[in-house]
Amino acid sequence: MTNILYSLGAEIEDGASILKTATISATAYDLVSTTVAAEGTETVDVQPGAIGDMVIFMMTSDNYTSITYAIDGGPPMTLDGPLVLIGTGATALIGATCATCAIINGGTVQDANIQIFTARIAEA
Amino acid sequence: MANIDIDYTLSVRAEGGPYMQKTGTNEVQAMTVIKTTVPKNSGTSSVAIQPITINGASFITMYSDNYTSLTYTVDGGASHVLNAPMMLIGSGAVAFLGATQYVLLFTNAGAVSDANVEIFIGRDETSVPLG
Repeated sequence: MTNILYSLGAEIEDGASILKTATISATAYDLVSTTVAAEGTETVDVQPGAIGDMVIFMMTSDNYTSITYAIDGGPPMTLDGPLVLIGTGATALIGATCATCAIINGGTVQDANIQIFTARIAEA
Repeated sequence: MANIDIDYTLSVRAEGGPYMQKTGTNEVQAMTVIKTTVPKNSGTSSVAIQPITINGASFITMYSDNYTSLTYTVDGGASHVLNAPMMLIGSGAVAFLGATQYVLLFTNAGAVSDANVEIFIGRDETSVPLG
């Protein structure tokens, strides 16, 4: 098992703050880095496991303008902020599978450097 | 219209492996904080998370002190498992919860302890009507 430490924190202006830090166990992780050119599309292989085995999905970019993605041919989703899903309950929101991710950069000015990190239980 | 800043920090670190961290600020026009208790033994709690005429959530966080057998539905949709803290940043991420996010219905199927759930919602103060 590999321990993966995650932290989710938010501080609301003149209000409450929250910080949730914990460790989740996985037996495999995948890290994908790709650059999606302005007005371009890139399709990446994300991870080979079943969706029910994926305990973390995190996708980030250095450019959140006009970025959309589709997982395994599903409906396009907007990436307008970093996306982190912790636990099998949250990763199940992605859909039935998470093998490939097609990322579209609809912007005309700037490339998008995307990173996708997934962690999963690899044993069948 | 004044905005409220939500400064967020997300990170994952694999033991002996990669580390990813993202910080940023999500601007919203209104915030709602909800605390509810979902009783054990299949108890439920239904909470309205934003006004029915508004559908502009761009930040939702849900977490609990008990992730055993805790599920939720959004506006009567499919049941989802809440087995870890959740933070959805941006309207794109919030869309994973469906086209609208008005009422969350939590169910605690565990038999041992209640689940205290806290929910933060950042949203527009006004929004265009749903088409």
